[in-house]
Parts: sequence; structure tokens; C-alpha cells
Amino acid sequence: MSPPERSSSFRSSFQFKLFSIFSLLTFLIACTLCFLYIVSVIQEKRLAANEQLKLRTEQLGESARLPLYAGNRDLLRQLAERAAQAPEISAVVINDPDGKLLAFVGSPDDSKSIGLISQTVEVFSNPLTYSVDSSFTGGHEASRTKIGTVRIVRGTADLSAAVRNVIIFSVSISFLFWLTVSLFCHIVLRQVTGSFNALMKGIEAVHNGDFTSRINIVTNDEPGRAAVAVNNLATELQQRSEENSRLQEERLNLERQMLQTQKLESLGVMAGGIAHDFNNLLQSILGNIELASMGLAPSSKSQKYLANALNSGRHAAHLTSLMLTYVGVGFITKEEVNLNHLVMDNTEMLNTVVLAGASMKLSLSPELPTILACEAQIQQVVMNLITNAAESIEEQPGIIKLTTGIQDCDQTFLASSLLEEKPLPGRFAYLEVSDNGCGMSKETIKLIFDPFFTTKFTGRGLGMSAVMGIMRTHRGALFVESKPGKGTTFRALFPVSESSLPATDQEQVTSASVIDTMPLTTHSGLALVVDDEKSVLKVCTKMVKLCGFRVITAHDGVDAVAKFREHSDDIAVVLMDLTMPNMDGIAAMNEIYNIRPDTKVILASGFNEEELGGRTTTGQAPSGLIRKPYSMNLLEAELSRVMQQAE
Amino acid sequence: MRYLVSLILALATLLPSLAQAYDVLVLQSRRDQAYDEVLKGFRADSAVSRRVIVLSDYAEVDIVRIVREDRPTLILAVGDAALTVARKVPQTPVVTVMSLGIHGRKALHPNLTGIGMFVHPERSIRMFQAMKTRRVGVIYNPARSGWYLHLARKAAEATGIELVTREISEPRETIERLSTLDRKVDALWMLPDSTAVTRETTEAYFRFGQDQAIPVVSFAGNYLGLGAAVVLEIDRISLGRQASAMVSAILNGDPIGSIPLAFPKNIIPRSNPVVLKRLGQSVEGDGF
Repeated sequence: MSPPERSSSFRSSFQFKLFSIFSLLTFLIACTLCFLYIVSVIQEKRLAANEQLKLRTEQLGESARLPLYAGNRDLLRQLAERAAQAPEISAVVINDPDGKLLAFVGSPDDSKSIGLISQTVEVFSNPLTYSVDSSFTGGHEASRTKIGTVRIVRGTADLSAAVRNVIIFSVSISFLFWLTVSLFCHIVLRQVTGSFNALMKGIEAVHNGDFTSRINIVTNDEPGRAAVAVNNLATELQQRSEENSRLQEERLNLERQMLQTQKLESLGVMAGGIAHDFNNLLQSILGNIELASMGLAPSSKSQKYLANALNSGRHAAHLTSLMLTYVGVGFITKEEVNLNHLVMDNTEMLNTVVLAGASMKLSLSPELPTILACEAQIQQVVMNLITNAAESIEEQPGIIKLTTGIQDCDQTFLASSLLEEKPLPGRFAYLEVSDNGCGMSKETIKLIFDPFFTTKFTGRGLGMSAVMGIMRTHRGALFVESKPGKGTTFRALFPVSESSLPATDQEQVTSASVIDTMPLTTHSGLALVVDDEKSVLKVCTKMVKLCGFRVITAHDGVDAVAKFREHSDDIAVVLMDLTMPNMDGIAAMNEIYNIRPDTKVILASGFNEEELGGRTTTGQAPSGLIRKPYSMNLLEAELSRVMQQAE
Repeated sequence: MRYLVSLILALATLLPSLAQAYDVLVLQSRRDQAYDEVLKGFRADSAVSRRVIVLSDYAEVDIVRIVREDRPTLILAVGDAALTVARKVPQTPVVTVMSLGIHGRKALHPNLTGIGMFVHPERSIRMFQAMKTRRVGVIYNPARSGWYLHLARKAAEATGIELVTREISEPRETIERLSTLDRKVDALWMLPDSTAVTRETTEAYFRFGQDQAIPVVSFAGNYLGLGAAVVLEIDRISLGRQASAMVSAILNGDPIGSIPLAFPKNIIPRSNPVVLKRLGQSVEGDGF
């Protein structure tokens, strides 16, 4: 606060107003008392001077009685001169009873001057004396005889000096009195209004938004009680402010989560679209390569080039799969997975990731329940975390510790998960990878899940994005603790499967995944192959025919439903793309089930099967799902599995 | 009937006169203790019938009518005012006391006699003699006190005392004349001279006495308190008795003209011992 503002604030304060009133009142009282005292002293001194002059005059009258009676001018003049010797006496006048001047000392003009005081005494015969007659008869004398008058005039210079001294003294005392009282008032008011000032400061602090400040309550008077109320108000406002901040933060979190969700959805749509197109292209490429390979002799030199092309195509298919995994729409098939088995089964592969100088230690919980998960993706999570840990240690000596265990998590704990979507509280099996590598800063931790973010020169930046997508797909939670130079610990939690069994009692679940090496089986019957991409439709038609089916084709869902209605009794199986214009695979499948519920429908897609949830109006799931791009063997295996279900 | 009415009128007229018949009409100037004491002495030695009229009780007293109606043998005038009133009936003998102007009026009124207020000069001289004073200052008005000074001077000369006199004609001269006695007298003698002693001049006597350190001998006890060393005061009861004797003589047939003015017989000397002590003065012999 600037000095002028402070001065203005002080002038408008209650303390200043009271101080001004008291000071003014005291000043008026002091002035009034001073004035009355001075007037009183002036009157007293003038009265005393008059009395003194009267006594002096009476004394002169007494002395002058006899010469006045005798008319002795010389003696009267002597008396007058003697009386005039007294200080301040300016004139002495003695007259006979007729007013005739007998003696005068002084200046005649003085008697008319302003500021002079005079006393006139009439001189009578002595009341204590007797005439001859009265002396014989007891001294009773009826009348007194006037002998003359005596008048003394005196100046008032001494009175003026005395009054001047009195004025100086009185004004000084009054000023000191005023000063003392004002100082006392100031001290008292400062004490009295202290609670007011504290109250005002508190109110101003609250007004300025500082709800944490509290008024120091020292008195139980009205301001003290008001201060208590203000403190309570500040407490409530602070609580509301904190509540607002919390709500604001929650809102921001929600917005951020929504933004993330929208981003993911956008990415998902984009990735899904790209993956769909890529998979269609890859399906066409890989299918044709495979058909071409099948048409050549195994000893043909072209087999080698076709094999290289096939590998590159499959690698491209893996990248597409990673992209879908990140956005959580990857093609997965969940099954009972035991994290201990998964770790143990992949120990060798994991060790290959750990660089020289570092070592990996396992700490596996023996009573670990199973989780419902896609084993391949969980394996990818473990691989990615181990890879990151190894890269953080680099070639220096270090330890990578892989731990599994069980943890009961409540909502509070799960709220600190790095994922936007928080799982429900419950029991979780966790997989923890910790290292003593270079660690990460808080800023780095915030960016690790962003696609294509990497701290490594050669990294693609999709590893942790894929981990996050996998964890989100599995409704899990992910925690990280890291300090630069101290190392990093990632803990991935997966909800325990409701039908889970301890690892020791669980049967080895056989994966129903693709068996690339299964020999071709000859089928019979009519198959309806549906795809909107003509190249894919041609390849798939050829691949299905190679499996022994007669084939009719359709280029979209509407066409497929029409063809199926036409050949409903003959069609043994339907191989249909999931994403198509006009009517997609699910809608077409529902229509087909409406026509003939026991139809075998295999949907081909790059998405996972959870995407079908809620979209089947008949309550029937497809008979089979096959992930694009699929090989000839994979298709034949799926057809065989579906056809065996029919038998 | 006519005789009866005449009888009643005669009785009404005569009976009161008979009832009020007395020998002495006492005229008292005013109600005053001194006058009462004189009358007390008068009544003590006199069995004569009398009527007392206090003049101050009336706005105006028609003394002529009273005398004509009451026909007193003589009038006893107490005080100067009473004497003035009594002189309105010159044919009636008047005996006066407590009057200062008696000597001046005696010559004009043959029917007047009485007792003066002056102490016999020999008595006064004897007092000065007792005080061992040689020069006695006196202020007087010859018109009033010349006769007394004549007697006093004779008495003083017989005892070797010198009277240093100063004559005045009006009171204002007193103070100036007193100043001429400076260092010339051993004592100051105040006479009952109403010109020489007034209320205005009384103080001058005592101041003079104080300044000169000489005793002041006065004539009334009041002056003792003002500074008089000795006073020769008239015994007022004795004065009344003396007047009673004078009245009795007249009533017994002595002609008033044969009775001269008299001095008071009984004089009471009084002194102020403090003043005497201050002055180192004493009274020896038969002064008291």
C-alpha cells in the first residue's frame, strides 16, 4: 500500500475518527478552561488590585482625616506624595467636601487614561471619637460629618504583565494537558480499536481471497465475537474454496480424461480405419503370396522371394496390430492366464533383452491367481517393461527385478493409477518390474504414454503406448515410481479372474490360437464369402475354395443377406468381413441368424471380439472370428473348428 | 338641668388639672443612661412632685401650653436640648444639669440656674499637680470657656503650674493650634468646650499626646479608651442629688437669683494605667 493510500485509509479509520473527536473535544475543553482560568485570574487580579487600592485609599483617608479637616494643604500634599510613591500609583487626589482640590500628585491626564483603575473614599469624622456632648451622655452620636474625599488612581502595567504571564502559563499548561490527553486517547483508542483493526484486516483478507488467514481474538467484546464469526466464515469459505478447487481439479481431470478418450477414440477410429485398410491390403497381398507359393514347386527359386515378401507382410501386420493395441481395439482373445507361468515360459526370451552387466531377478508369488487376459499381449507388456528397464540401465551393472503378487486395492489407491480409466476396487494380481537405472523425471513420466515419445535415439515410441493400451484393454491399473538416478518401478495390476484357480491347481489352458502348421482339410458344401474389397474377396474366395467349399460371393452386407436368403438351405458357412458399407458384418450376421439361426458365421476383422458386445440383436455370437490378415492354414483351421461345432 | 350640665363641664375641666398638679416639670432631652442616672440621683433625695417629659419621644413638645396648664413651680432641664425648650417659658424658674451652654445663657436668663459640666478648676489643677506637670496646654474658645480659663489660670498660678493656652474660634483651628504646642507642654488638658473638642478634633488631641509622649487629661470616661491618661468624670448620681438640693432650695422659697451656677461637687478621677505606664507617668498625692 502506497503512503497516500495508507494515509487515506488511516484517515477513514474508526480510530482516527474517534481520535479526532476526542482531540477536538479535549482541545475545546482545554481552551475553554484556559479561557475561563485566564478571565478568572484577570478578574481576581483586578479585584485584588481594586481591593488593595481601596485599602490604600482608605488608609490615606484615615491618615488625611485631620489635615483634611484642618485644610492643611502642605500636610495633605506630603501624604499624597508619600502615597504616590507606591508602585503603579499614577495619581492621588484629595478634595474637601465641596469638591475643592486640596492636594494632587500625578498627571491630570492619567485619570482619564484607559486601563487605569481608581478608588475614591469619602472621609468622615472618626466614628470612634466623641463630641463633648456625646462624651457626657455615653458616646451615642447620630450623624457623621463628611470631611472630604481621597482618590487614588493606579496604572495596570503590573496587572498586564501578570496577566501576560498567566496567559503564557495557562496556554502552556493547556497545551500540555491537550497533548497528554491526546496521547493517552491515542494509546487507549489504539488498544480499544485494536480488535476492530484486526477484524477489518481479517475481513479485507477474506475479501481479497485469503481464506487461510485468521483473526487473532484477544477480547470477548463485540469485535471479538464478530472476529469469531469472520473466522468461521473464512473457515467455511476455505472449505468451499478447497471444495471448488477439488471440483475444478476433478472437472479438469474429467475434461482431460474426456479429451484423452476423445483422442483415443479419434486415434482408434483412425487406427481402426487404417488397420482395416491395411489389413485388407495385407490380406490381399499375403493371400496372393500364399496362393502363389502354393502354386509353385517347393524347390522353386521364387519360393525364397515369396517367403521374404510373406515375412515382410506379416511384420506389417504386426505393426498394424500394435497400433490397434494402443487404441485398445486390438484383436485379442482373453483366456485364463497365470502371470507366473507366463514369466517362467518367457524367461529365456526376456533374458535376451537384458544387456551385459545387468542381471534379472525373479520374485514370483507362489499363490498367484489367474487373470482373464490375452497372453500374447501380457507377454508384450512384460517384454516392453523389461526392455525399458534394460535400456535405462544400459551397459552399467544393474539389477532388473521382476515380481508377481496379489494386492487388494481400494478406490483411493486405484485413483492414483496412470490410466485415465480406473478399475473397480478388488483383488488384483500384479506384475512389477523395477530397476536401478537412470530413472525418470516427473515431466518425462507425464509423456511416456504419448505415442512416438521416446528418450532413446533408436526407439519408435510405441512400447509404453502399447502397454497402456493393453492395460486399458484388460481393465487393469498401472503405477510407476521413479526418481532420476535412482531407478524406476512399474507395477501392472490385473483384476483377478472370478473363476481363477491358484497356479498349482489350474490346468494348462490350451490356446485356441492359430496353428499355422495344421494340414489342409477338405470340406464340402457351399460357403458365402462377403467382403467389400474386391481384391480381398478374390483371395478369400480362392482360399475357401482350396479348403473344399463351393463359393458364392457378396460385396456388402445387404448383398450377403440377399444371397443367403436365396441359398439359405445350401450355405454351410459364411465368411464375412466385419466392416463394410451399407450394412456391416454384424448387422448382416443378425439378419442371417434371423433367417436361419444355426448358420455358421465367421467374421473376419482386425478388431477384437469385444467390439461385438451389445451389437448382436439375436443374442447369438458369431461361430468364429478370424483376424485379418489371416493365412491359409489359419483360415482352414477356423473353418474346421466351426464345421466341427456344427457336427 | 342647666346647673347639672354646668357642673359636669366644670368637673371635666377642673378634675384633670387637679390630678396633674406637680412642682417640678422634668424635661429630659432624650432617653439616655447618663440622664437616667442623673434623674435617679435627683429622685433619691427629693420628694417633690414632678412630671417627666422625654423630648425625644415627641415630634414637638408645646412646652408653653404644658406649663400654662400644669403650672409647675420650676423646670428641671436635663441636657442642652431640654434647656433650649425650657427657655421658651422665661417666667418659670429653670434648673439645668448636663448642659454645656449654661454659662453663656445665665447672663441672659435670670430665672436660670444649675450645675455646669466643668470640673472645678482647683480640682483639675490639683490633678496636674499630682502628675507633676508644669506646663499644661489648653485649647479653648474664649466665648465658651473664657470664664473657666480665668478661674483655672488663677488656680494654676497658685500652684506654680503654667497653662499654655491657645484660643480658637472654630473647630478647624484646633489642629493647627495644637501643632503650635509642639514641645511646649508637659500635659494636655481637654476642656468640655464644644468648639475645641469635636468628633473631628478629638483624635488630634490624642495623636498629639501620643506624638509628644505627654498625658492627656480629659473630662469623660469615654476618652480613656481613645488614649486619655486621666479623666475627671462627673458623678452623675451625685449630680442629680446636687440638683435635687438646688430644686428643694428654690421650692422652699429661696429666690433663684440668689442661687449661682455651681460646679459638680463629686468628681470621680479615672485613669488608663496602660497609657500611664507607656508614658512612665504616675499620679501621686491627692490626685485621686
